[in-house]
Amino acid sequence: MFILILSSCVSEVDFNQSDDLSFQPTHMASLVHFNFDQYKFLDNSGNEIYVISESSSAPLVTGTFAKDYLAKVEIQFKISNTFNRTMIITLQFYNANNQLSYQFLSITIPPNSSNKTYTEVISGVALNNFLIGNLAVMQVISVPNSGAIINTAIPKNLNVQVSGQFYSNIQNR
Amino acid sequence: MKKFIGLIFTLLTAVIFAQNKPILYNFDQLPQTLLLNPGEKVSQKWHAGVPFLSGITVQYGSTELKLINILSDDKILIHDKFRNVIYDLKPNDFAIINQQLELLNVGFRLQNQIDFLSFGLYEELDAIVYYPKDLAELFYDGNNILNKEYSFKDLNFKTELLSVFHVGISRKIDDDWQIGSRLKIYSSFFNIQTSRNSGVYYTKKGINNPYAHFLNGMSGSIKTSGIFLPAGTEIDKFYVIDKMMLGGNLGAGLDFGFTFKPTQNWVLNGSIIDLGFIYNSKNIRSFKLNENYDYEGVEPPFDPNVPEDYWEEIIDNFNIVKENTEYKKSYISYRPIKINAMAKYEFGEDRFVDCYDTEVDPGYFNAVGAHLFTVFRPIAPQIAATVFYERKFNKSLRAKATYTIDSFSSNNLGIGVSAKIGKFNIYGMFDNLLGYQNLAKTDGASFQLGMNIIVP
Repeated sequence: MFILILSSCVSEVDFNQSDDLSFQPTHMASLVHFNFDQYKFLDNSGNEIYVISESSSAPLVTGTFAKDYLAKVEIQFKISNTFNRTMIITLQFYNANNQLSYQFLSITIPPNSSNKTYTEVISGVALNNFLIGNLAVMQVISVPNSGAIINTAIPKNLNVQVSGQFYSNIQNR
Repeated sequence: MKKFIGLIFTLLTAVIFAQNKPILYNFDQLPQTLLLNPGEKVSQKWHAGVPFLSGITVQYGSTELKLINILSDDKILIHDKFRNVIYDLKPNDFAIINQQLELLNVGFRLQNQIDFLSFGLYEELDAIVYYPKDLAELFYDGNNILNKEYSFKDLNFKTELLSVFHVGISRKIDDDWQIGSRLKIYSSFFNIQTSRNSGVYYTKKGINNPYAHFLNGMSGSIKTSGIFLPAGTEIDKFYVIDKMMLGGNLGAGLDFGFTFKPTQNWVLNGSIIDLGFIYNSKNIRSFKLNENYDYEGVEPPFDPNVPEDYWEEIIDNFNIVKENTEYKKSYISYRPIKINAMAKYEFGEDRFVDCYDTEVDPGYFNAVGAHLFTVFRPIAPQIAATVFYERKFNKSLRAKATYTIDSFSSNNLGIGVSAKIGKFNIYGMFDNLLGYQNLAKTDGASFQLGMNIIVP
């Protein structure tokens, strides 16, 4: 009996394959959304506001999983702009030392456009810079349109929806 | 990552012979058979297990998944094989690891000559994890399929490490009947368990954003004791000894059993083991989730007069949820109850020793029989049926061969040998012998080893 046990073996397998084992889950997530009407671009005196900004802490990575296995991120902006002027959206990330770590390409939305999509693909070194962002600053810039003013009586709308696709590559290291 | 893959493989590996010891059961009146049936017939005056070596049990096995399923030396990419495993396993597939180490086992016949008292201490690790199919697929592929629901109902697991003090009596009622019971005091090192969960996670097209994420119909909890320890707690030998010596979460249990000889050649035998519980009151930290959640992303105010840190708001909301889900309340965990039932027919009288003394039970050279085993688990009982042939070669050597079948395997052959050299006894039992030809293809294996001093 002991001879049988001692002569047991593991065959027809290749353990080295485990080095090649990997899988690539993709997670999709809604991130940010906002909806500006015509009043958003006017101050209390009725004067137009050309730059609206928002900043918030945004520790994108608090664990090691994203740092270790996140391979690519696609941030998708879906924007509708019924204003008769161009809108520009900028999004910047700052690291813990308040230095710019990642900056999205400015998104220019033409007047009277509907469901425009813009996708920023982030990978490689840029992804590392993106992930160390601690502070996010988003700006919405209303580009003045000569001869056209914002009329509060006419409903206008800037709708922004931001979502992400997160591609991981989990593998033996 | 290798550890992670090892963990995944372990979790996907299911034991089919969990806590089933068909070879040891009712074999050669070994002291350890009293732990499987306190009503086992024993004829020795006293016995003592060799400390730490009297009973070593390790059991593992697999249902659908074998090592070769993932690591077979073929032309198929391991990625594809792993994916097949993830999608082919079913929620009823489960993993169990059971390990026992006997530290002390002593027994002796009382003066009344009809009672045999035995007591001892053993350590046991018992873990069961059912395959959480939906959550495994979510982890493997992500949530990239809209409207696909990932259910939490398959999330079932229980793991505990404990020491067991036990004392039992096997009483001879008459020549035909033997009954016995055993009292157990459990001292748990740790316990973690969850079952009866419900709820689904899914992502669908949102209103305010492309995606809306939902947790619906959530109801469930994960209970732990001895897992989250106070800061500064050192897990050293003093900690282990303290928990071992009744310093853990305590509980109690009972075993019952009988042996009946309806005729000279027939033996009927049965037991119910670990009818007990543990009251978990130390180092408790549990989690429950009984609400619904939906999320479509944050909506920043873009208002300088309302300086709102929406990320902090998310964290705060998460913490509120966390506080609501976390609680510290004592709870009872139940031991997995095991039931054994056996019938065997003995033949071939042994008259070499006592051929002139008809008062002494002569014993038999051969026995054939059947053994049914059931252990009650969180989802459903696991059942195994065994037929066996037992052979006594001489006063010192016995062997037992078994064939076990259950819902997972139909080719499990086992063999056990018990040898006595004077008062020294050594035994070894191995299950699923065919699997040893190539462990990569095996359904599972288990073994028990031990040494005793037995004084007849």
